[in-house]
Amino acid sequence: MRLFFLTISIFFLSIVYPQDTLFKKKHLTEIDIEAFYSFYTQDGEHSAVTGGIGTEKLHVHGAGFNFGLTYDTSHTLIVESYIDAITSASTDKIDFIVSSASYHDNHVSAHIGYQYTSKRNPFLIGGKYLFGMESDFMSHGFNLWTSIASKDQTRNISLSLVCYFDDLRWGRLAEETGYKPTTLVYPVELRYKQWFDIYHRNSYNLNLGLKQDINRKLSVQLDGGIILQKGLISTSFHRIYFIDSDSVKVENLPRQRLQIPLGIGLNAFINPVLIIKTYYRYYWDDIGISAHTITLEVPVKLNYRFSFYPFLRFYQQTASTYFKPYKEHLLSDEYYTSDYDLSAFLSYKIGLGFGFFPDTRFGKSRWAFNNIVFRYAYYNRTDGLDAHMLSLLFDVRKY
Amino acid sequence: MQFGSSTVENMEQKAHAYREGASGAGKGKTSGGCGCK
Repeated sequence: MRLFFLTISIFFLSIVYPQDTLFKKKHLTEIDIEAFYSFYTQDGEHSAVTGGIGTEKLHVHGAGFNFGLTYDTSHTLIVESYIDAITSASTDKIDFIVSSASYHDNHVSAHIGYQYTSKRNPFLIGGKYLFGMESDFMSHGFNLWTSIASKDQTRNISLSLVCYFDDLRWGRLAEETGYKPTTLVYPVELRYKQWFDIYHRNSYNLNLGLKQDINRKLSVQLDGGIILQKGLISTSFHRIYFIDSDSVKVENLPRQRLQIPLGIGLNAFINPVLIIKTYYRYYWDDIGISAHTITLEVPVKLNYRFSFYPFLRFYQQTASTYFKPYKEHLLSDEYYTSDYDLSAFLSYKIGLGFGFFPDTRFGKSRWAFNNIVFRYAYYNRTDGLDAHMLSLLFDVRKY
Repeated sequence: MQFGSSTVENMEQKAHAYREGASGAGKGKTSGGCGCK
C-alpha cells in the first residue's frame, strides 16, 4: 500500500513539476577583472602648439579596470573604464603662463556593453557604448562587432563598426562657464575671433578581419578597414607661422578625411616554447599620408607560469600635403599644419614584456589570481621625439 | 571581449595614435581623445 501511494505521488508530482525542473540546472557565472596602470613620457622639439618648434615634454599616468561577467557561457556584460592624468609642457604654451591650467588635463573614458556567444554555432555578436571626456572634449560613440568561425574552428571572419561623435568645445569642467561647453580653445593671442564655425568631429570606422589556420603550426590574418572623419579635423590650439607674413593663424585642415588601412599577419608556432608573430600594415589617407608598419613579436614560454616576449616595430610615413615646418607656410595656403605627427619620418619601437600566470585560487573561494603582465617599450622618431612606456596589468577571475 | 595581453598592447597603441598620422578614428587626437601634444 505504501508503495502504491508513493508511486501515485511521484506520478502527480511529475505532471505538476516536469522532471527537468526537479533537477534545476545551474547557470555558471564567470567574472573576469583586470586592473591596469600605464606611464608614458615623451620629449621632443617640435611642438605644434608653438608652430612646430618648442618642447613636447609630456607625462601621462593612466589607470583603469576592465570587468566582464559571463552568464551561462553565452551572455557577457562588459564594463571598461580608465583615466589618464596628463601634464604637457607644450599645451602649457596655449596661454604662455607657466604651469597654468592648460598644463594639466585629465582624460576619462568609460565603456559599457554586452556580447552574446552562441553555444551551438561558433558565432558571437556584441555592442558597446563609448564615452570619453577631457576639459576641451566630449565624445559619445558606439562599437558593434560580430564574428563567425568555421565548424572546425580553423577560420574566423569578423566585422567591427566603431563610431565617435565628438564635441571639441571647452567649458564643461569650468565654474566660470557654469559647467557648460562654450568655445573652442584657441591660443591666447588669437582669441579675438572665432576661427571655426563648427565644433564637432564625427568618426566612422569599419573593419573586416579574416583569420585562417594554414596548418597546426601556421596561421595567417588579413584585415582591412575604411575610416571617414567629418568635421573639425585640425586642432584649434595649434599655431601656424608664415614665411611671407608676421601673421599668426590657427591650424586649418580639410573638413573631411578618408583613411584606408590594410594589414596582413603571420603567426608561426615553432614549438611549445616559441612563437613568432609578424604583422605588416599599409595605410593611406586623402590628406597625403601613406605609411608602412612592420611588427615582430617573439613570445617565449619559459614554463607554465612564466613567459616573456620581446618585440620590435618599424614605422615609416610620408608627410601630409598640408604639412610644412615652422615659418614655411605661405599666407595664401588654404590648409596648413606644422604638427610633426603629420610630417615625414621613420620611427622604431623596441621593448620587452613579461607574463606571470600563477593560476592560484584565493583559499577555498572560486576566485583565482589569473595573471600579471608587465611591459616596457622605448619609442624613437627621426624628427627627435622619443618616449618611454610602462604598462602593468593584474587579472583575477571567479569561476 | 579582449583581455590580457591585448589590454596591455592597447594601452601602448595609444602612444602610436598620438604620435603618428596613420592612426585615427577614435584612437588619438585626430579623431577626438587625448589632447596630448
